[in-house]
Amino acid sequence: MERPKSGDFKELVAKAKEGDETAFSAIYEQCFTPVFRYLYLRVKNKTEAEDLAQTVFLKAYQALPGFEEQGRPILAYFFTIARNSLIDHWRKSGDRVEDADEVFKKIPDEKSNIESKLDSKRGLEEIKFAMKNLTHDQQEVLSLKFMAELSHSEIAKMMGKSEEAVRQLQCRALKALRQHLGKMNYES
Amino acid sequence: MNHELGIMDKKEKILIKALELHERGRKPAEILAMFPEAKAEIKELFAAMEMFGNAKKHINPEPRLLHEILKKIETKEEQILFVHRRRFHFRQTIVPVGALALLLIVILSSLGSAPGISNLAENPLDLNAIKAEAAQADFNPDLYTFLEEEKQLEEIDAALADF
Repeated sequence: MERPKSGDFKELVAKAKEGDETAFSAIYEQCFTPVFRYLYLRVKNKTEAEDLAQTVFLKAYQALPGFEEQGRPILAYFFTIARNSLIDHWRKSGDRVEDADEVFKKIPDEKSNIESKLDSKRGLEEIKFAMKNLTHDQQEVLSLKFMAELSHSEIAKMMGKSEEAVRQLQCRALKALRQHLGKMNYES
Repeated sequence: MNHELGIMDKKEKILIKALELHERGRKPAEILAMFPEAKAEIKELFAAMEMFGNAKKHINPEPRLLHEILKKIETKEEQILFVHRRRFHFRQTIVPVGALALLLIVILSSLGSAPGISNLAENPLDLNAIKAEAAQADFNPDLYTFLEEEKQLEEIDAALADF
């Protein structure tokens, strides 16, 4: 499904508020879930991600009339607000920079069968912990690429980097992450 | 070379190219076949990407959260409705006040012909009436002198008009 644009979004919100299930699903799948996934990976827990998701959506809707984007997908706009809200959140709570050693103490020392672990929620939590060992930019690229499903071009614009630099960050981040999580076989 | 990129070895350049091709829709098997010299590294890269894909499936917000957010969002239509409601409340206030004011005017008008109420509205220059009113209200005596002189001037004007 194509991502909604700013005008579509207003219409979708109006329809969803009137009980239109299709409009609700479109917002949920195309905007809300990617934003929530991105936030979830960057904060401590689900409650924080929920609070931030709410803040982002309300801010985004309120600021929509001043949004001068023309015909571009609205998701980039949402992520700009999400990133700013995250920075505010970290500034207020002061908890972004967590000691990587402390993080890894929390991860059980298991080297067996990562693939099966990743089928569970525990695997997700391990990725979250492992990500804390990456640089801020590496974390940002992985979150925006895999949770928000943004293209390299969109990420590059958002982070003020070239597309190639984003790809390099992604390569190095994935390599570092794999080193922390152990190796798994990939069947092509 | 782009300054942002720093030092890259040949394998890393291949991996970056592999990512680019993957984003353009090329299948992993095709990409692996294109770069046999970096097959192991590309496999690792795709395995890590798949790992993220699996992890992502577990992160799903609760729909009730979006319902709550939508309730808090006020659409343009709702804002217009709110203004209408405010106008409606204004009408609810102004109509009874207006009706009461009208009723008071009617009552006061009907009392206007009753004894003790001023008849000056009917004849503003009735000096007797003015004197009587002034006496009741402790009116400034200089004013009657002025009004009497005015009256006399009118009489003089009327007498002169005959000539």
